[in-house]
Amino acid sequence: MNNLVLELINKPRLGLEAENLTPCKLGDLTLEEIKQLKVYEGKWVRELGEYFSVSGVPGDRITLVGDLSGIQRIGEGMVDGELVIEGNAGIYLGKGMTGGRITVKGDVSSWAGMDMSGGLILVEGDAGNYLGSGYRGSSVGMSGGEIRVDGCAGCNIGAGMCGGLIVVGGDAGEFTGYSMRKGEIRIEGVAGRGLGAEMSGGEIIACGGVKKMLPSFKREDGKVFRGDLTVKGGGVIRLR
Amino acid sequence: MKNLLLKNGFLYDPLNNILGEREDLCIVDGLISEGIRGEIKEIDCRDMVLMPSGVDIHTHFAGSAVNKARMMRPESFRGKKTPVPTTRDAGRNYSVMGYTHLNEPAVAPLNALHMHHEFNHTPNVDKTSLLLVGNNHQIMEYISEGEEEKTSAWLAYMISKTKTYGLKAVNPGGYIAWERGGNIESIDDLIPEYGIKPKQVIEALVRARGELKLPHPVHLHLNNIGRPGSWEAARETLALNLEMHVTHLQFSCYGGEGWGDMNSRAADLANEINQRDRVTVDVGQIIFGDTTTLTADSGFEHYLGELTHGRWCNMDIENEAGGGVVPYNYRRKNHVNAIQWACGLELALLVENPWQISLSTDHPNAGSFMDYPKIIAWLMDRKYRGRELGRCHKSAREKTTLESLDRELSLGEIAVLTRAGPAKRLGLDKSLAVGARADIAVYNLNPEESRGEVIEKAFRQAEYTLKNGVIVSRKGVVRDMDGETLYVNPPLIEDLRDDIKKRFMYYSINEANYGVGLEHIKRPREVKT
Repeated sequence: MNNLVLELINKPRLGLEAENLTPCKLGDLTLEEIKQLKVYEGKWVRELGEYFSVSGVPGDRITLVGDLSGIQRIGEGMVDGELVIEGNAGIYLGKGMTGGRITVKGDVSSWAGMDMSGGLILVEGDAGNYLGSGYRGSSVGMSGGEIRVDGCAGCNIGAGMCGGLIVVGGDAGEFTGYSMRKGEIRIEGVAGRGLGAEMSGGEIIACGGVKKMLPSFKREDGKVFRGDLTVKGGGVIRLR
Repeated sequence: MKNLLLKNGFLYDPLNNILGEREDLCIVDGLISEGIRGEIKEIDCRDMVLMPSGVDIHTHFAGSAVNKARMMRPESFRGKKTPVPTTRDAGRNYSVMGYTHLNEPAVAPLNALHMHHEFNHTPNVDKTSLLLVGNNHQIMEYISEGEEEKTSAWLAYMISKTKTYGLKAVNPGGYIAWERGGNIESIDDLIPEYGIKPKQVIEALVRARGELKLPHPVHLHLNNIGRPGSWEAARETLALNLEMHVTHLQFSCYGGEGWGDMNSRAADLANEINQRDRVTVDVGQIIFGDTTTLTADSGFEHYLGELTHGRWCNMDIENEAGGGVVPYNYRRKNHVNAIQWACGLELALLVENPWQISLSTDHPNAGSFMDYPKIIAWLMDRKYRGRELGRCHKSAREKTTLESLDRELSLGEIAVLTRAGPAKRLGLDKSLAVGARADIAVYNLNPEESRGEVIEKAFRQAEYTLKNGVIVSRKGVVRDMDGETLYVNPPLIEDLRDDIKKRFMYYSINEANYGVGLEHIKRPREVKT
């Protein structure tokens, strides 16, 4: 299997827009062309080679090495192939991806898997806020695919979710599954307050319970709740 | 700057009764002239239509409420069309469609500075703005005390301080009532605290406008707008037969007791307009799709916010006005929205004199200005609007008279609706006569064309848009140029020093900081009153 290795040598001072870093966009280029790819740091146009050392063979797999927490939009619009990040990733990881697989060995920042409709994101560390949600202000979040986080996740994860699966190994912050319509969120740890607020469909499983259940959910039997009644919703929350 | 010779085009200049004459047009030094001289650029306009450039009499494109709408909906900036574009995009998109004059119809005096700064960043268009005065506490106080002179004087003071162009009343007294938990449903209701009627406010403002000799008549947003039964307030107001411009009348065309039995009374209102010659209106045509509503009618926005269960924001502008922002989605298959859509077209087709009605979508309340070409096509091609009608909820056919209307507007009438009419009402000189400023739109359209699709496409992108004789847009490629900001400076007719001192005890700023200096305006032009 071909493997292209990009190692961070210079940390950008501002957020670096790296929407080009997907196997589909780099697969057919030579190493020299990859080094000369245009990227934005803030408002300045720079070349990718100024930040990364490039080695290996371009193909359907990319390995990114280093602390990439300042690098935004990695794997945006990814269709297939594999992306491995040995370190942390910045905001908008895998934004709008439709297929393929992203593995992050460290933490991811907010908005990971935003608007995604397919593919898989695996995070071995923690995730930030708005995991698998929609664009800021949009009522429609992720519509398909799978996100698995081994650590904890921040607030508002799966907001406006319309399909797919989010699994969080640790605790989740407040307002998980806010206004979700379809799909499934599974939290192995404890969910914060406001769980499932304004959800109209879909299912949330909180294995470690919830800090405070919303009063607008109706207890069905035992630990199964249905709501959110403020929007006449038919979502299900299961507590274990 | 090269002088231009536009050859072989069909000229449409309703003001001078030129309708489709084939003539060459000479432009020398930014003015239309008799002959051509100097360095010349020839443009072949064979099979094209030449009109004065467009004038939008009612479009919210700059100011603090518009900016709130932008902030409130970050997601709307993704994709091609946003309901509330940035200042630069607004100016550029208008010039692509052949428009070069915009009228911002609602600015509270305190927010005028913000609006002027946004004006400076809106390229390719000239700008005018109207001051919100229908809920101003000082004006209400004067009217309730019967101080006619002082009312005019205070209006003159505010206009000259803020460098605006005219007067706008939004739901006169309605905001004051809503602030206190009430509502105004007709022009004979009492405004709480002041004990006067909206009718008196309208009459006082119209009188003051005459006294100050403002170029644009009072621009009126009616009481009780947007609700079933709103047509009654509209009829009463139109029946006053005052010199005024009633804006987005479509929102006041609804009969019935509730949303369920709502129907269209556009025919009655059009009939009312046809009997009077002093009142003009603009349509406020609905465009289906997602938009952001923003108006100084806070009560209505609160109502709409409750209805949609979505985002809502309210602004209170101390002593002067209010405002609200609510995102809204007009849907074809919705009973109410379908009737609203039909109402606007009914109005445009039933008002007989095209000089009395202008085209607008009350951008962005009923839809984006980018959809004007669609409305033009609906008005000019009966089959084209029939197809859209067929896709709507059945109420649009059953509760309105639109289906029975056969009228198709001519290109000359469209030229009145979109440029000559609003320009005349705003007191602007827009024509193709010798000596006029060369603000011209050239559309790639055969005057004989009757197919809606072709008409829509032609109006969507002007072949050339000229401003002061300079080509600012050529087939969608735009070149930025600063437009002028027009303002009036009515003289202060009475000494208000004591009243100003007293009123500014209730403002959070002091009088020295009130208003806008000319140094804030990029290209100011004073219009003599």
